[in-house]
Amino acid sequence: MNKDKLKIGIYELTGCAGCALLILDCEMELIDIFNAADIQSFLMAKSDNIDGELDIALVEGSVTTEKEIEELKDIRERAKVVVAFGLCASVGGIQARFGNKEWKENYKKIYGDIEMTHTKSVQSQPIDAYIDVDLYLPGCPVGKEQFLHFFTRALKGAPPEKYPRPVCVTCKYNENDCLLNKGIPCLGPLTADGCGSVCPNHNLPCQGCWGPAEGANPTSEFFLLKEKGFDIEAIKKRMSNYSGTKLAEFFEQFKKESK
Amino acid sequence: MKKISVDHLARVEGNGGISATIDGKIVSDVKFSIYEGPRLIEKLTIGRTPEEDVSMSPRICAICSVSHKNAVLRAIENALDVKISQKSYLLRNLMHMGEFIESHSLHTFYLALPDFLGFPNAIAMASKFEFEVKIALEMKHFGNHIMKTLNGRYIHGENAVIGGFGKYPYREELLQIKAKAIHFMPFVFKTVTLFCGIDYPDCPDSPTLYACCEPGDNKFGFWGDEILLSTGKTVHRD
Repeated sequence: MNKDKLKIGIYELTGCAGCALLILDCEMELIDIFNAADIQSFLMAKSDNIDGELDIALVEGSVTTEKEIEELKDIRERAKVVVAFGLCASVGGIQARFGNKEWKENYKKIYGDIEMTHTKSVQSQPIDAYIDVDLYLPGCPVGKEQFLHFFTRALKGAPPEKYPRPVCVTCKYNENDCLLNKGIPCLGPLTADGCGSVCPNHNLPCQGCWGPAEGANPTSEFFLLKEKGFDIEAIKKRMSNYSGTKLAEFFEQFKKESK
Repeated sequence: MKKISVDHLARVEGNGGISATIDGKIVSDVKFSIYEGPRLIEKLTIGRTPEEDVSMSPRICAICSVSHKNAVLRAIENALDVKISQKSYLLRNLMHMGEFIESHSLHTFYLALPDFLGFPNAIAMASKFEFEVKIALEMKHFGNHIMKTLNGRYIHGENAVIGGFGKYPYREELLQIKAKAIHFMPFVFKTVTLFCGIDYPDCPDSPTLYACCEPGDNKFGFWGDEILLSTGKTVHRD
């Protein structure tokens, strides 16, 4: 019977484990999820895990040790499709903000000369720094609807729905008052959607936790923010919190155009 | 003499392994390894605005993100001398209770119970314990619902902010939570009975030390400036 079912593995690297927990948070759908697919490996939920061939591997967390690099490469070899599941896997997470030199200095300041005993720690990186990634589902953590859409489509062999718009678009659909017009620095125009504009729905500025929006126009956005009297450096700093290693790419276009 | 080694501990939050040597009744050479690398969160919060720190700190752990949220809010409000209203205080407490209900339902029924009943996971238990599995899921959902009502979403909600909340819940929403809590009470007692009836394996026991916080008014709880220990000792925050 299991022959026809999609073989799925859920793997956790370094992070808060929120994206794996998110799957268990689908309380009303959980039994159906376990019945509809053959969940081969899911350490947080089950103990009879098998490391075999997979149709889909969902990898959450960022890579922070050499052991994780090996594990990740092994997952890639076994899985037809690898999904970067969540912000850490997609961009490296909040922990990927430092460059290599800064990372080493900060490590020393916190841990001194203490090293990990069984493996070597490395600067946090998204999983595509080491392997080819087929699909990205960003979010801190991934949205429940986002995951369920992905899962049901995957069962039918369809790729996930894209969210090719910033939070700002959904925020307008939700008929919120624009916070930027009230002088509150909101990252909605620059951040990938998928959360349903949850922060502006609560009168709070977007923190950027889905990472940079694909297709956003940072150049135009920054000039607009400057015109409105916002501190661009503060906005950039804010943006870097949840953009991990992808922030540089995001600003490349901006740098070119503003010259 | 037997050497055991579990490379990946299952049904726990986080990545770890354990190895030990067992000789009859004597266990020695126990090694517990954490596989996750450093995230340097201590450094991430430096040079950011207090609001950004409040947003980032709960990302330390998703399972207890509301506890981290309450801790970082208390720390920053204390540092900036911000006082919150009694209403906000009570709502933050309720938010924390939501985390407890969610997390304990997950832990007891989904992470721990399969071991005692001999199943690989909780879903596999459903064939024999269908009612328990379903109610546990409902109770977990209820805990998440409380967190979503107060904090904006299940995990890493942003609604609890310095000084109070971005948006306060409606009275009806709170009354619904109260009704639901009363509805779950009989199952809570059933859970206690179920766990008291489990045949726990004998293991060497050292006296358990209990700790709680003193929120004032001669009560005990999960936050406060003093930690009360079951030895009778009191430890102050400073």
